[in-house]
Amino acid sequence: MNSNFWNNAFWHFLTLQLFKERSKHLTVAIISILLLFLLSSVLFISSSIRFSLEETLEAQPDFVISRLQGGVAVPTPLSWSDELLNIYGITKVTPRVYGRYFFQPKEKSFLIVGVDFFEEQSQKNLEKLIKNIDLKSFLKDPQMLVGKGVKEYLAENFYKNEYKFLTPKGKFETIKIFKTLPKETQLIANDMIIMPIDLARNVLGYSEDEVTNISFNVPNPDEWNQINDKISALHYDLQIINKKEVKKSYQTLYNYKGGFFLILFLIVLMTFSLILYQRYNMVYSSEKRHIGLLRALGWSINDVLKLKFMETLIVIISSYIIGVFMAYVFVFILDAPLLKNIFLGGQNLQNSVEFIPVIDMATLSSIFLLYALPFITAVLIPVWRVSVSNPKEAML
Amino acid sequence: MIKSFLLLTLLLITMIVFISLHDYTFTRKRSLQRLQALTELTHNAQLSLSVAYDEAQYNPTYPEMAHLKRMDFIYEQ
Repeated sequence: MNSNFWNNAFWHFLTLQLFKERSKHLTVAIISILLLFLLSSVLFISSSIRFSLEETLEAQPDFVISRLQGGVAVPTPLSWSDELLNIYGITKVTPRVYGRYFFQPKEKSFLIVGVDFFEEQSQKNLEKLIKNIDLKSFLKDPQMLVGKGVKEYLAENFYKNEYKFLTPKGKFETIKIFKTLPKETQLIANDMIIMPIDLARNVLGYSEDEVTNISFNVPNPDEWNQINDKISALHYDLQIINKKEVKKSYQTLYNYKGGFFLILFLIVLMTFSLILYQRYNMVYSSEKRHIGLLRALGWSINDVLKLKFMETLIVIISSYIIGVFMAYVFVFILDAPLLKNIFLGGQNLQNSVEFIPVIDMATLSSIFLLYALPFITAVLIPVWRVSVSNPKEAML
Repeated sequence: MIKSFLLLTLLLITMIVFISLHDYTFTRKRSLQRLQALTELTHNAQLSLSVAYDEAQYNPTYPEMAHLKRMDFIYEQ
């Protein structure tokens, strides 16, 4: 654009008027900023969690089988993993031992996960997770790795270096805290305790030939249905879940929560637009006189509409950028205090997740359109009605 | 164009630049690598939801339904 465009009389008049009537625009802008801030924050949290989960799901096993009794999961026999190994096309068969441990005094719970640290792959993954970890000293005594939430919670309850777990057999198992899991893993590891698999069996009450469930991979996606049928035929009480179902369940959960806020936003936006329409419909006498004066000075209807349109557009764009900016800082720099509890809950351990910045341009553009169109319509229709009337009548 | 408007425009541009810079310089790779390493280690990627002990995070049997235990609880009520 050339310099004449920015320096012409129209722009000068427009910006001058905009700042002269700033108190009028400020109220509308503040309400808009608050609305946009809330909605963008919710959508930022939702898309960041979804992104992190989708990335972790890539590393998750393709299938998990477990034993069901009366619709409730019961310990799975370890011998099922040998049966799986005999099926062609299945790799990485891993028996999993995990479960929740109830910390009775304060009614909180932790997720205990048993890992076979004698497997080479587990050792490599542990080194990737915690740099320079000394595996020998970790396995020397009964020790555990804990999430940040667990570490803080135990420290608050005077268990700074170790914790005595009460096993289902009524015995106490003292386990030392070896290290805290990195803060980047908070989203899935805040309430997690990782310990050697035999220790986890003791704490959770599994016998040597029982596991929570068994995971495995099927590298060829074309074989998924066939393998699914083969495994389902192995036992009548077997339940098989694939990664796609888990992914779908998370998406449903967060689409529901994000969608709920979107509906609330639409309702509030409709109300806001109606208020604006009402306000401009009963255009103040000074406003009416102003439009009449412009028309009397030779401004065409188009010019008046252009002036009001640009004025509204500036208010809309400014509020939008400020609202989105505030939401960005709130979510990705301050880690969304209070609001994150809607998504992560607040009944168990406090979770201070570090959200990974994810900007979904499609959602942001939709918010802009949903917000801008009713706003512009609510302002321009009443202004047009005044502009088409006789300037003399308008100035009365 | 008046000075105040220019200042407002500058402020808005600064905000956009700040968002772009933070988004561009954020070390996503390290965070994702650690999350993936933990998932591969535990073979598990349950979201660490801060929910009550009796409330399951999702229903593994029918992922789109509430958890069976939770439903039993509702029926009991």
